[in-house]
Amino acid sequence: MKKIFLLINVLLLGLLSACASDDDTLKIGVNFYPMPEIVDLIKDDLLTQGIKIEQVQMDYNVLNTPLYNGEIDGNMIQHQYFMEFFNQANDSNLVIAQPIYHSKFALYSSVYDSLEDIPNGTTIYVPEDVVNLPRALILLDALELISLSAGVDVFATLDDIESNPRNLVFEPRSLGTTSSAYHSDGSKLAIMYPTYARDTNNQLMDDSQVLAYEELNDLTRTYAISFVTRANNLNDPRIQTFIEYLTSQKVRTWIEENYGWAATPAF
Amino acid sequence: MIVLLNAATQSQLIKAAGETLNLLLMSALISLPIGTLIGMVLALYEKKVFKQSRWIVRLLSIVVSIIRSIPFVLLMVIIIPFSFNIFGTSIGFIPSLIALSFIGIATVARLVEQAIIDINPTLYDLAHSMGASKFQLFKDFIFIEARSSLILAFTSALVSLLAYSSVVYIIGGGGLGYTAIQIGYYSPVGQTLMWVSTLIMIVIVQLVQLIGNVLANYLNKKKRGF
Repeated sequence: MKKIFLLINVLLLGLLSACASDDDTLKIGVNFYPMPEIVDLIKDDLLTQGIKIEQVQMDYNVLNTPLYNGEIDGNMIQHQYFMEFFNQANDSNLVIAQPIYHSKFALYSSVYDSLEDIPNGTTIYVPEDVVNLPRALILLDALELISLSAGVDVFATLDDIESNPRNLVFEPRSLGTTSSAYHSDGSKLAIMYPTYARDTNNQLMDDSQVLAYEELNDLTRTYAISFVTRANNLNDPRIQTFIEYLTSQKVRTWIEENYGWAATPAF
Repeated sequence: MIVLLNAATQSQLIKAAGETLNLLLMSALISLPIGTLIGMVLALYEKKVFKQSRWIVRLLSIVVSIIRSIPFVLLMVIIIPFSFNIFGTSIGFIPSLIALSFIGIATVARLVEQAIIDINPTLYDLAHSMGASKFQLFKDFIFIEARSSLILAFTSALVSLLAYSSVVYIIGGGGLGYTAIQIGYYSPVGQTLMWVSTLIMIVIVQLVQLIGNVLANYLNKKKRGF
């Protein structure tokens, strides 16, 4: 058995050295639409500056580990709070290098036409995770459907709801399942990202079911999806050039035209 | 359907199919021999062909079951630090291959064990009465008797590996799972990509199953009468 394991190790090491790539390349971790598209958009321009870009495509939940380990140079998958969770858990030094866009966030309903129409005791589907649930509560607070205890914002939980005059019944769901839960309950009330909002079959790309959008202010701007690097390579000239192209008019126009239904550029 | 896709998407799909086949082939090369060995050990000790140290076999059996019971997505994530410490990489092909090999070895071991256990027990007495050595018992009796079911077991394991390989995109392994789920399903404009990727997976499974069935049929002692 030992010999076999040794053999495998040798085989794998061989493979590893075979696929080790050169160090001149800037490796950028991406995951969800539209980040791969944005990187593709500026890839050729950066090549004229002598910077080769390689996309590393994997799940956003595990993309901070290779960044922390120094295997990639930056990633475009998260906002400040997600990054801070990772920093705390791993005692790491990831930093926001450049906000890219603000995801829209909205209260959906295909039954009620205005906030006043929402009857007493309506069930509302909200995100369940510790980052997006507070954001949903902040939105409801801003719309004056509930009020949160003074001083709590980005760490709010359902227990921090001080008053709930409409007696909304909260049903936390994961981002990916909120939409179907909302539809199977008569499409009454839900808080979703347009990216995750689906009609029964298709992506909901218009605001036909949107009751209210989150307003951009100092607090909600902190949820910008950003380009993140390590503190020690933030000043790398290649990273700075990358940021320069990332925040170009070309990218802004592309985001507005192709992803404007779900986000606004943050630069 | 393929013709509906533009050139960029086509090359994306070809690359993804290549990654999937590469992962499938490499993980099969690792897990088929090791898994078969473990499966043989499990089955033959259970059959009391070999009598010594049965507790090792029980331990082995428990380990195989544990690997098979860890949710695969979790297994991949658990492997990340392990992969980084040993191979210096936590993304892409290497950790994907390690994860696939682990689950592949466990799956193959169980399937091979079943195939060997299914052999008619009188075979062992027959071999014994004919004075066969342990190696001859293995080569001329067990192997001949079980080879067709072994091929079917391998086929089944390959299809499982293909299914598992569709989620390694989570740790950067790419493949058809990536085009089908991440840039297919999750993208507002990816419906075609999702279905074409799935179609390619179906074709691969059909081919693997067809080859497995034909080979198993050809090697089936009972049908061919030798």
